[in-house]
Amino acid sequence: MTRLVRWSQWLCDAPRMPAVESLTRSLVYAWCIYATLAMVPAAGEFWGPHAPPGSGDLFDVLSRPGFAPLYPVVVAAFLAACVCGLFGRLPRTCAVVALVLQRVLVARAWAVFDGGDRLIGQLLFYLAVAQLAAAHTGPLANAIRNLCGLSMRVQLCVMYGAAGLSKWAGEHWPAGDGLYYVLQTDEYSLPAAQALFAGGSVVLALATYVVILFQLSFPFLVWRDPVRRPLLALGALIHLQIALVNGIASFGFALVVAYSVFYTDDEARRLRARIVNLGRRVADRGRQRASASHEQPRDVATGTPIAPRLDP
Amino acid sequence: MTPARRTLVIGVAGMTAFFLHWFAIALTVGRPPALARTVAVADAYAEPLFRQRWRLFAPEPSTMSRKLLYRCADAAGAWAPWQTPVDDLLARHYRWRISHHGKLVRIPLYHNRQITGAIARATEDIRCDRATDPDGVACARARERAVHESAAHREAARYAARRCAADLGRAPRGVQLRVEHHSVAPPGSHRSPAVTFYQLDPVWIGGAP
Repeated sequence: MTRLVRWSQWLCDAPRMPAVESLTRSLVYAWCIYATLAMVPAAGEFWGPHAPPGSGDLFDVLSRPGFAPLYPVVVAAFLAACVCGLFGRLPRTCAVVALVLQRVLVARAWAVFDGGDRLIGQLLFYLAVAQLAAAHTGPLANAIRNLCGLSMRVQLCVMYGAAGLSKWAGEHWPAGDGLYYVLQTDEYSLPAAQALFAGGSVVLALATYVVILFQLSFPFLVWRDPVRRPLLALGALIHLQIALVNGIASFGFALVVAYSVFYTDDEARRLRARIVNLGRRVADRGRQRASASHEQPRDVATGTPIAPRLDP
Repeated sequence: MTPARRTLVIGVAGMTAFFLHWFAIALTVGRPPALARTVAVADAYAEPLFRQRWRLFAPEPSTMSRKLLYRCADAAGAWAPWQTPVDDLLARHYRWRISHHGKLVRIPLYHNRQITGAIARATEDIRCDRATDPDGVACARARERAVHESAAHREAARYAARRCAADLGRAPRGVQLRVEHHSVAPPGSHRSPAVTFYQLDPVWIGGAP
């Protein structure tokens, strides 16, 4: 009973990770903007009337007759919602609009989307619910926000646990050949990597076991220091490799973004401050450069402005 | 209700909802055969919003590179050489890792997977009977017809026809598809990849010439 009371208090007394929630929200919106803008040059191929068939589920609105030509409106509205959400304008409306439109876009281009898009869809759901709860105060709102934060963490653990167990039940991964096969297929590799690892290598076999071990241990070890940080760093390395060598950029970056749910509130606050400072510095430098280019030329010796010479 | 009691009620309700939510999701992931009916209920709850089909190259990584090839027939019915959009898109994807080419290349690969699935389904559904069809010709023909008439082939032919129209500058008279699988040699073997392919019958637009 005492434990139940303690857990209830932990859930209801205050939002436990407001900075993590805020940082994750910003990173998820930034990822959505990148992933969508990256697809815009060929938007018609993914969402247009001639795109491959959609998922046919509840959200596959763009596959319905008459709705297909509306895809540019949906893409633009989704981008606008993400930009507004990123800058904190109309946060609740943006959260709900971004959640629904992301599902609509994924459902239509289901054939080309991957686990990264699905994971971001899940995070958007929990972030939207937390955002709606954040408008209120009191134990219920706190409990909803805390449970959404926990759910985002559990979501990552379920994903890794399921993938790790499934790999272990396969044939090639336990034999140490998983990464070799991935790196030898044209669509998930680079010609240089294919040549480097042709025939296999001990390094690749070791890396295969590291990946399985990482995925199986993540759900148990990520919750506490001192293992949490090295584990997240290793995961980030694996996913950057997936983004750049395997060429599944949206998936690799989505996972790196999702790791922010495992930061402590202090870490999230510090990282957010650093990103904001960096943004300000870049903006200031840009402004200085712009004003310097418009300034009147001055005499180097006296510093007085030089009047422009008007040729006849 | 006192604030302490209210906290306890909300806490217990929240934890129960949280547990049930993740229990349902865990069931859709693990799918224990003994709980088939409960899994069906969990599917109805989790599939629309919380679908969890994490592959991450599991349980097996792909052991082949896929290609979709097509060729176009001009107005006179003459065939152009076979070509594949995969190689060109992959070359761009290798150069621009974070651009749209990575997702664009998934479209022909998706058609390849769908046609491969249609071939597997036709092979499973249409059983060859040695007694009535000793040389297996009729059986093979029936399977080919099933693949040719599948939705997967129709979609892929439409995709190829659009590419042909872009190549020829006008609508093609016909298109033909071929799916290729380049198997990766097992580690340590240093063999060249073995290529298997399946060529579909041509699709004529407005009747065969």
